Amino acid sequence: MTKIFSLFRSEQDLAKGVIKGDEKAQRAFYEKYSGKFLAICCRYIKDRMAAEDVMVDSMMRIFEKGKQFDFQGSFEGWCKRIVVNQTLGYLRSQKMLEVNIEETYTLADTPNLDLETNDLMKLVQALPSGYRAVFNLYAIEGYSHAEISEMLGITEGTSKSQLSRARNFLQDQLKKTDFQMTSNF
Amino acid sequence: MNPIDQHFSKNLKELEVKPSDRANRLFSEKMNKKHRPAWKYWAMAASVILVVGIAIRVSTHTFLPQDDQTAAEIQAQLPIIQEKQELAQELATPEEEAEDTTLTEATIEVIKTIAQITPNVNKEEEAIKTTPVVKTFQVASIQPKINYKYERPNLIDYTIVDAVPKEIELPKEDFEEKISRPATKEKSLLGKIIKEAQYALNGEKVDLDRSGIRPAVINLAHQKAQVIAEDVQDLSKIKKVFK
Repeated sequence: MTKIFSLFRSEQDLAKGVIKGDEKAQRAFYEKYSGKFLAICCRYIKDRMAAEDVMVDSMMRIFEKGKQFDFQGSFEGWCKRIVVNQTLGYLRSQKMLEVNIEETYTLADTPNLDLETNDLMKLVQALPSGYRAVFNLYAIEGYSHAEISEMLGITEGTSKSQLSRARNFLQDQLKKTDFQMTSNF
Repeated sequence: MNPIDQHFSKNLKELEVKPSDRANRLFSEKMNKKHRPAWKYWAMAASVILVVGIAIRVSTHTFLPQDDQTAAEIQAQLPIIQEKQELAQELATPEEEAEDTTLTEATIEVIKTIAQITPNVNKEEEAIKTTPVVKTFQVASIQPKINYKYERPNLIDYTIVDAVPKEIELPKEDFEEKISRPATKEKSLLGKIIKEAQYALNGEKVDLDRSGIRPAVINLAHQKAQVIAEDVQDLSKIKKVFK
């Protein structure tokens, strides 16, 4: 990975190469950012294979839409927004953005992480899909309720209530996890 | 910031998950499709058309004059072909001879003599005896009705036993002149491919530009691409309606 990346001196050079359509630059970009983008997809989508498919589709979309980047702000941030939009599009197509209170909280397995982050990822994935999307967008991506309501097609009030419920659920789960960890000792 | 948000954001914001081999393979496939050079498609299409053209040409069994043959040599072959045709006619099979219903004068006389010798014979026997027994008497004067295998007048076949071609009236035009005469009409793509195949068979290098195959194939591909683009547009319109 470092060998490929060394061909491009800075992130800006890499971005320029990607925008131009240079195959080497695009492959180097994939090597560098595929891990981060897949983590974003895994936070929204429980199914690992579906998350990988969305990540690859997001990469291809970035290469297609690269010319629309105006070099104001971070290229990585711009790409992450595309990944988030692709993920939400997938969830919308699967009708998984609707909040289902009866949805069971099953914990997915995410390999290749240390214990704490793996547990946190599991907790996020255990959220119902509607709460999960709002929580990810607000708490981790940093969008406002106005932006979230526009992206998900809900009202700001719904966004706030879903965020509150998500926090309550996570808090309960964290307490249980702490209790289990202390009881093991 | 809410402590829950802070805790999760701190741990998950910059998290990286290593993609599996499946994801890497999927990405490579998409990149290969995206970055395949366009000329490879044209080359593949041209080679397929060339192979099909050669196959069609080989299956038609037409006589191709060799480049190194002069017009005189070709014309010299023509009497040999005529002689072979005459020989084939003389060597007509017995079955073909038996089908013949025409009778010469000599055979009619023979039949009459047989009838005179046996006047009291039954009608059936008479019928049998009055049928011309041409095999034993008048072989040389028979003009057998031969069913020719090939109907096309320009076909020349050298296998005498199996097929007896019709008496072909060979064109009087000079072969040398025909070869050297430039083509006046615009040939179809298949005709161009066949021409190039002839050059290839004679050991010459195939030049897609000289024959006009490359531009023709490119035009074909452009037309196809236009059709596909229109279909894609239609599909996207339909998708929007159902979204």
